[in-house]
Amino acid sequence: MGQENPFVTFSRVGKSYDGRQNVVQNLDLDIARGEFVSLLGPSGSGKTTTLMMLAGFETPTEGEISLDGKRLNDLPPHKRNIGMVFQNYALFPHLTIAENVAFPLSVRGVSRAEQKTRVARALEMVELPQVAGRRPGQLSGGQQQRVALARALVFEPALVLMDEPLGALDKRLRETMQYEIKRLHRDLGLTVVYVTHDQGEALTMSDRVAVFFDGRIQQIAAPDVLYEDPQNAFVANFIGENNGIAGRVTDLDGGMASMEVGGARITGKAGRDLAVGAPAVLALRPERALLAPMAGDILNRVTGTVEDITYCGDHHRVAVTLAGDGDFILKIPNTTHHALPPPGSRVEVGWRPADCKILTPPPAG
Amino acid sequence: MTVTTDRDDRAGAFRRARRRDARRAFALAVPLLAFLLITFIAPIVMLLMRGVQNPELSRAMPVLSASIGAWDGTGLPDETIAAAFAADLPGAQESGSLGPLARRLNFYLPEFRSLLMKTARRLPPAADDWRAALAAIDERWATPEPWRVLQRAAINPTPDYLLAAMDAKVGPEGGVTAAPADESVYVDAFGRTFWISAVVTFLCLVFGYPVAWLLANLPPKQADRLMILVIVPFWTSLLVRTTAWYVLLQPGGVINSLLIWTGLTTEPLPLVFNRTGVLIGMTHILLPFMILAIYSVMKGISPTYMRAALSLGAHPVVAFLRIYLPQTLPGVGAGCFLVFVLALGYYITPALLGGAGDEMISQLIAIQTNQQLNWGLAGALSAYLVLFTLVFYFIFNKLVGVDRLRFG
Repeated sequence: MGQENPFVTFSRVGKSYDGRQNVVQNLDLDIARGEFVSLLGPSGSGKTTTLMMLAGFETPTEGEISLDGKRLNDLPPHKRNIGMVFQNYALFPHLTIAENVAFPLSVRGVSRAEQKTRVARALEMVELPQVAGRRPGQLSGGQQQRVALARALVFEPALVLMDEPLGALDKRLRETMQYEIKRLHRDLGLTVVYVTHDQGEALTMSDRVAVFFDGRIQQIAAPDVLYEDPQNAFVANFIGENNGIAGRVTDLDGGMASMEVGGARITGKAGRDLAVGAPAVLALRPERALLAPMAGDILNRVTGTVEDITYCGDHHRVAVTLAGDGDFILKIPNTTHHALPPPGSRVEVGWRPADCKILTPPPAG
Repeated sequence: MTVTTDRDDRAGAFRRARRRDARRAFALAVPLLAFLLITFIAPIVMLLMRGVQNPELSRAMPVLSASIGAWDGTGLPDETIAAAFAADLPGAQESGSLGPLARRLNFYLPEFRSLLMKTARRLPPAADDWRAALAAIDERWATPEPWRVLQRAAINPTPDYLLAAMDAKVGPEGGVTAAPADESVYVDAFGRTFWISAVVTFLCLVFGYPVAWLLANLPPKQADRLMILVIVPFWTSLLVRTTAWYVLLQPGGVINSLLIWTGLTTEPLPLVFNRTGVLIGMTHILLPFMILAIYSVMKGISPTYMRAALSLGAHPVVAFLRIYLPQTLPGVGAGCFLVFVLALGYYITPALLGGAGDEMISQLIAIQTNQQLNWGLAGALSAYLVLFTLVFYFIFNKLVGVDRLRFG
């Protein structure tokens, strides 16, 4: 996407706090102008450190970061012209909302009259013009985060960073704010780097998502690619739900691979670095598997015992124990009128080879 | 109807339960309250009362103190007053109340004790003209001065101690006049006390603020070590620390030896028995109060604020001045108030490390209490000290709020 004209570039960036272990290693990342990129990963995966290096609060121990062609490494944070939104809002408690929003303008020497109009416009933009005279403590969490957004955008920064900005809000408010941030991104043409550990948030908001684990980007791709075509077992397990059955590769043929699971032979799209006889894991979404499939192109068939059925409103969650090999989850849409097999009964489970992927297992530990 | 009754019953039961709880809480506090009342509040009230009490003359010479008020204060009092004085004197001597009276009158007029004792010794049993008889004993009785003193001493309660504590007195014409320059020490002493306290507060702020910042921002391990360095002196006895400075600062002491050894100075610097010694000692002793008061506020300030300010384009100095510093002001206010008020009452440190011109008001109160035995003046000086402290307390409360005072 941004490869031909990158706006933000990380090249071979590494960061270590103690000189031994790297929290971020060998990071390459290009972000195009106007793009919304999320950094997603469990805590300790290096996503926040990456953001802090971009903001200038951490210095990379190796590699180079550049913004719009300029090297950022030695530029102090206050000269980077990057807007930042923090998880706990970080509104200055001793200043009014208007003074908070005016702060980046006043440190840039913008005239008082212009400050006033721009602050008013920024508060208008987040739909909170009426709170200008209040203090941050008098606002709700959602309002505070809107003000923090206005403050980070009022000086028209080249880039906006968001560090889990919705983490402290409740679910309903979070969804409204997601929409709000998306709207601002679209209307203002912002370039946004967004850190989150909430995959739903990352998938719905981003143009591209970078999945972090163990200090590395495991995969960076558009949300649908990430979900449909995970590059490795970590991504398959981390994004959405996955039936990660383990087995051994029996056959490699072009883009397809086969593996053996408890006597059954399963075929799917081949991942990278597979070898015949080597261990492999399956990547299959629970909603792609069918109960008692009819004949046709459903080539992968395994039998097992129904363990448990959970009613989830729009679907049923069926847990099946396969012939000696772990748990298998199916999501059966709540549309069929015929009865589901009762727990304890033997069933056949099947899915298309095009709906699953065979991947190398994640490294131990 | 039953509903209302039920509700009334419930409200009544609630109130009774509340009262029972309140009584129990009060009962638990009674021993402490009694202790405080007997050992703290009552002595202070009694000392302050002494600043206006003037019972010596009316106790020793009831007839005179009842009649001398009628004298207009010019010339000599008439014969009846002189006769009353002569009539009261033997009785006062017999009852033993002449001693306290003589001491009291001596505070008004030096030498009054000897005049009174001499008069009591030589008083004839009877006389036709008491004024002449008294003048024969000592010619000072022929002047209005001692009579005026007796008249002032008859007023109870008296404003004289409170006036004396402000270097003023009631003059011969009845108006308030300034005391002679050689007796005027208290206004200067109050001024000096405020000045020393203010300088100590300023020094504590200058030295304490960076330390508090370090305590709040260093990694926990280093901050703990630094905290020990702050806390240990805080726990050490005031007297021990003052004497330590006494040893360190003297001309042949460690600091001067070090300065001479390094060649920074050839002569020992006068660091003790002067204002420098007082300021060094008091600043050191009061510094932990300032540090802890500021630290407790700084600890609550999230580092994100500084980061946010930097990311919004503020230079680190600007971010500190406009974002960090204002948020620490409650701590600064609390620390300054605490140090200033504690410094106002300082006694041992200036007494040991100060010189002739460095007496603070507490020292003068101590001299009046222990050496001069002028408890009335001591009470009046204490009353002013309490009053000024309360004034600062209210100013502080207005500016910062007392509820901001906390540690840790």
